[in-house]
Amino acid sequence: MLLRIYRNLVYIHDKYIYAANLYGSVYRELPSLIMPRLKTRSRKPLNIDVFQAITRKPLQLPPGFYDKLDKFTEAELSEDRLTRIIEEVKPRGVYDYILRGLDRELFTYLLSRGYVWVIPYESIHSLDIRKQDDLEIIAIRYMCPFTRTIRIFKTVYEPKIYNLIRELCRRTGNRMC
Amino acid sequence: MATRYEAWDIIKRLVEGRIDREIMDKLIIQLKKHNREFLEVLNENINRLNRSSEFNRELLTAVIHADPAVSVLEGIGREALFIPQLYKAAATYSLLHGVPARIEPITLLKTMIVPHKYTSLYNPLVILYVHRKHPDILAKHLLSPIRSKLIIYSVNPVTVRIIVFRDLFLYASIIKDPGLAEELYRSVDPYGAIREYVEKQKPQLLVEEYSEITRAYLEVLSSTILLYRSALRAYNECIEDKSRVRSETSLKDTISGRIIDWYVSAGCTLIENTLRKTYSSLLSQTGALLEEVYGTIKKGLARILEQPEVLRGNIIEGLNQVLEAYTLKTRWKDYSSTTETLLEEIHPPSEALKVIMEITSGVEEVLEKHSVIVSEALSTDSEPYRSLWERFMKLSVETGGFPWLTRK
Repeated sequence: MLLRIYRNLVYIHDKYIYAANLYGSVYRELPSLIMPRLKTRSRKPLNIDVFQAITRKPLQLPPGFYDKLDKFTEAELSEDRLTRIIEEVKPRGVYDYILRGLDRELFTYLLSRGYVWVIPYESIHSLDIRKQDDLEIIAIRYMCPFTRTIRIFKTVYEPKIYNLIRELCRRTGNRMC
Repeated sequence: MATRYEAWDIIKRLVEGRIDREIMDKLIIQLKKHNREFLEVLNENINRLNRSSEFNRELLTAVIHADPAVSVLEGIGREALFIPQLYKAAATYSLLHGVPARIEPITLLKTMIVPHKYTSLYNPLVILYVHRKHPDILAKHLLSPIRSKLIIYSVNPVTVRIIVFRDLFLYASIIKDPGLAEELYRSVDPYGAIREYVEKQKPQLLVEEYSEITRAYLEVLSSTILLYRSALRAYNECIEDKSRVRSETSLKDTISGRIIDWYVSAGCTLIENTLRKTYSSLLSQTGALLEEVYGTIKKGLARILEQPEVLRGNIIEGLNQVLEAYTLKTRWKDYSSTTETLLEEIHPPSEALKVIMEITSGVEEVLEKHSVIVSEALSTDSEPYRSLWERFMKLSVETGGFPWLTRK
């Protein structure tokens, strides 16, 4: 049962927490893809490549687009206008929620790449509040039921959410939190 | 040595459901010989055979009534694995008529996930076989996994294996009340042979096992409804996004325009696929293709939840199921007319809703009857009861329903 949605990406159910951030991260990457001047591109693989892999729909771009990315200019479109357009097609949280409906294989791929998190309360190992860059965060160490690996999930601290997670965790008989 | 023509003839007659002594003899001989030509033809047509309603129904009828045509199935063993239904039929035949057969229980359980129209009638019989002959294997390979893997399946419910939850529940309702066996098998077994068998043999499940089976079924079903509802909402929004991007003239023929357009339309394709898969998952979980299946599920829910221990353990799941179904029903009207027209192309949406409401009415009936226990549980001031109560209150303002739901 879905109890609460936090920051449009953490979905708190009564037996597990589900969180996903694929659409959001692709969206954040779009300006730098379109206008390289806005941000410098990092060396890590692009989120849009992951998105292409799961939708199985290749992006038709001019040949050598990624290599010559810096040379493209958009004369007819101002930065403000572009930002506004992207703002309008801003992804909703619900887009990320339905990633649950992917095939098991693709879903596990997203889990192992760190775009989706599934945290059952019974497999939480520890639940702490930490400080990171002047920001208080909730850190959950847990075992992922799909990949059977131990992972850490972090999100911004808020007393209400922290207490809710603690209460639900205790309810399943987990004494680690 | 059978020629290709003979092989085609056998398959054709099977697909049409003309099962008699002669054709079964020929089939078994070819399977036992591992005849290469025959297997090639079979392989080409295996999907046709799987989907053929006539074949599945006639085979099941013949098995239940000890038709001499299928008596050759005894001792069939591994050869029958080329056609999964034959393996299941052999197990059922040996169970109902007391003939020994070479059946491996774990392989038999694996054949359960081959979907066709009558899967939901074969599988309870398969579980009955395993329960009677190998109770430890039932506990280890079916009852314990549904407990430990419940979260995996409720997070990611779009898989064929999900039908095992439904079939296990159907089996539990049959042995709780053998009268339901007559209801479930009324099209293939008008004389009630299966009911008689269940009444005579009296297979038993513990109360906790009933509770777990019901919990697993309700949990998986309601999380699929939730996923379906959010997929509908996402679809509605992505169509709006698409039209907004396409109407933006300054984006045309620019690289940024192409990237944004690709992003939005790829997202739409993803949502559309999810919608389609979730819908078919809902259909198979509710047994919407056969009226007797969802009728049995509805009555079975009422019978099993009737036991106070099972009801106490399943209050959250039951209430959640009612809540999700009604939310889906009320949210249905919110979508724009474009979305509705496009949805008609994907699937007829009202079918699933009808069956879901049918099943939900079974749960609601029991909860209403035992409203004392429910209100007692809801008065607990802790999560998730608090949120459940809030959501119910919000919904009852919209729909004006649930007068039986109270809180102390």
